[in-house]
Amino acid sequence: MLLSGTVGGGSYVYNWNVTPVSTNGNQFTFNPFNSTQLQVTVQSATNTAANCSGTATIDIEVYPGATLNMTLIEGVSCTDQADGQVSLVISGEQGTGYVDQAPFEVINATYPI
Amino acid sequence: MTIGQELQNGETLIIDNLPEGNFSVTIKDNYGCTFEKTIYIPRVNNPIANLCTTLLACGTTSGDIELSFRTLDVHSAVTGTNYTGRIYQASSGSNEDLVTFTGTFTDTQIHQLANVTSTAIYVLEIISENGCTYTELSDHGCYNCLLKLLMTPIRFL
Repeated sequence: MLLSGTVGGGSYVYNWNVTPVSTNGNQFTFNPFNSTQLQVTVQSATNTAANCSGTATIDIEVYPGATLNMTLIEGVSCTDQADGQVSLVISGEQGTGYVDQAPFEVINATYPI
Repeated sequence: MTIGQELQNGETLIIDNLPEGNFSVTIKDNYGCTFEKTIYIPRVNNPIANLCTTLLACGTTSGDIELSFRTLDVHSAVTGTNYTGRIYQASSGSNEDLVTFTGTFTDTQIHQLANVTSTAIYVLEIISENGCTYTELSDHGCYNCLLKLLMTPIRFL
């Protein structure tokens, strides 16, 4: 993920709450593994007065995966019987302040022929 | 399970009436991304276990033996249900019943087989109420002779 911004003339010092993986001038690259809020404070390199700095924040949402598990409860009792049984459980991101992954929806099921 | 069915986070869904083979499910989340999983539905093991026969006397080629076995808990559709069973000589061509019997999974049975021959192949077959047929071959050959030899004390003169 690449973030870039513009500040008016002069040189500045950028302080991020998360360390960028690389920096190129006023372009910063991050590689977050989880959703987070990035915050940067920009301070004039030549004037350290408090009124010569500014802060910006941005919410970064990392798209969550989901854990889908199927477990065999029992197989079929013999050839040509259809009495096998499995359990399925799916869990994803929830309660993090971002959009919950649930509800999930079954969109396809392929049965043995 | 039905297409379009909604699942909440962490909800467990039981899917039954599955045939043997690969079963796959695709699920979509609130973002529209999809997740797929496949599982193989196997056939359960043969519920006939501990098939055992007494052995013909050493040096004889026919006689009476005793056959015993037990049935196992291998599937909920079978356990606790009744079955019919028979023992027949597969090598006779006629597959004529030597013994017929009934039982209930899970149980243990002992049957007498009269005038069996050492070279014949005998089959134990049980048929469960749901239509499953389970078979097991009986081996009552000449192991007794080997066993007899091994157990005979050797006398040195």
